[in-house]
Amino acid sequence: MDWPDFGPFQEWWLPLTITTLLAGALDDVLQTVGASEQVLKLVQERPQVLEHGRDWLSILSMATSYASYYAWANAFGTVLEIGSAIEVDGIGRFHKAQGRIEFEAHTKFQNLLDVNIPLARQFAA
Amino acid sequence: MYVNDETRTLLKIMKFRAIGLWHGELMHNAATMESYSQLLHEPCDEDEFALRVGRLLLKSLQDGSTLGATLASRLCPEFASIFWAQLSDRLIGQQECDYKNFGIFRSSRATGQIRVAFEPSDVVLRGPFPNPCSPLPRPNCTSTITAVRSWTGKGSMFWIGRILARSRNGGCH
Repeated sequence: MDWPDFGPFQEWWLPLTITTLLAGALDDVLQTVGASEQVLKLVQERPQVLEHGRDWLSILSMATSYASYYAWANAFGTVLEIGSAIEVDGIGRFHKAQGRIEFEAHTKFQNLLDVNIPLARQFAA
Repeated sequence: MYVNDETRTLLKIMKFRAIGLWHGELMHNAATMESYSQLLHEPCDEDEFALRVGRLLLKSLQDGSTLGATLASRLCPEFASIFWAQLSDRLIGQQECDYKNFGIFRSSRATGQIRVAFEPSDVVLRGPFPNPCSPLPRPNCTSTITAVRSWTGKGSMFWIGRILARSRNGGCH
């Protein structure tokens, strides 16, 4: 019996690492934010702050956004550190060699920029 | 100590995606679906509904629910799509995208053909990822999960601190 086809390693290793980090940390992060003295003080002293988009849903969603950012960057560094390349479809390939992180843009990404960046502006920059 | 435009934009867009994902999670999670359904049927305006949903989310977290763990698998593809889309937009508009403590992408046409260079941040190149607002001192973390937990708490506190400061100054966003 053949092994199931999970697709190229470079495509799922990064998302798996990020998800693992978030699954392990997100509840703690949100509980920390929700129980923090600073936030509780905010709720008690300035309840009006929890209006106009500053409700708990917004605060905890911003914490979720931060957590995603940190998990993303941490996972990126970790995956590259263990020697795996990261292939991002339509963007490029990252890999670490001799202590440096190299990036090779995909042709599709270069073409996208080529079409959308005016020649004059690019030369001027 | 600052978060630049592109990093702030990325975090804000992801925040709005996260709001949508939290609604979905509260609606479908066995631990919260009944309460969420009740909220749906209570007459109130949009702002009040958001406040009530927020309180439900907070209470669920305080009660020790693991909503975050179940949401985790849906966050990565959302974040990735925003990250790369924002990068493309920024390179087209500014030829440079500096994601704080992640790295700087630059496009150039120096040789006639478009080239994209990436300059990784020191922390992505060498280790655990600190708060984008204050790259030093480096955290003494024993694992990346600890790093995420530690620095996200600090990053969120920084953001909430900014809200507080704006609130005191009479700002409204």
